[in-house]
Amino acid sequence: MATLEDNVAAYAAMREDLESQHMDQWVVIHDEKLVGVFADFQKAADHAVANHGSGPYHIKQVGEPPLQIAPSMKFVLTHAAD
Amino acid sequence: MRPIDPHGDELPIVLERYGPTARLDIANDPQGVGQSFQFHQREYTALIDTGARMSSIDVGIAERLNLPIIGPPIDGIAASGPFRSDPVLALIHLPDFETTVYGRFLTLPLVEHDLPVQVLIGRDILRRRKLSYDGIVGIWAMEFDLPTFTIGATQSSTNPSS
Repeated sequence: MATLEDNVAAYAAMREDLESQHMDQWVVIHDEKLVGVFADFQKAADHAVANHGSGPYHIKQVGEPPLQIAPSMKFVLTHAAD
Repeated sequence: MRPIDPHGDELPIVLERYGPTARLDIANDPQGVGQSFQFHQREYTALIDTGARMSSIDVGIAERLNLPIIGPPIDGIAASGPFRSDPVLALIHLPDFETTVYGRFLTLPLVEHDLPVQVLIGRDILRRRKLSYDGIVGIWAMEFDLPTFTIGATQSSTNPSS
């Protein structure tokens, strides 16, 4: 069975095609194959869990910008002035 | 007349101090193909974080619940230094809103950083929901696909896991 890293690499290989046909939709990559294209994350997750349990699978929105850490975490203070 | 919570604090102050927070349960991973996530009636607290594009969950809880990793890790820098975060799949239940939704969560050291919440609900989950915030009265409301639920700050002001 393909690892998560294999599935991420498979997505990278098909990214250009996916961006031309399914921009902003959600895809599930399992065993290095595209197993579904969905309108939203809920439907993609439903499909992934029902058909592949806990994976490994890669769920990704086509064309989304890089993920970011929440600002709430970035600005946590370690020391505060009295 | 101003709303007062059972501890005697005025709700506007509690809401200002803790933000809009909600109780939630997080299911652990499905045990096999065709299985579903399982809830264990454990209560966590989530902050509705409109400043975050992506939702987040405490990394220790994600590991305990064995949540599936669904994407490549991202690197970040926190007050304690650099760290790596895996995006995981989780099924959450918000009892006050009578709703259960899947979410993709970054795993972050929220508890380690003394945040009084274990989950940050970002704009990815808030998409297609309506959120209203009344700082004068000290209440907030979120509308999922069904009726609107209004929450005073009271029940959100404690950390049930501590």
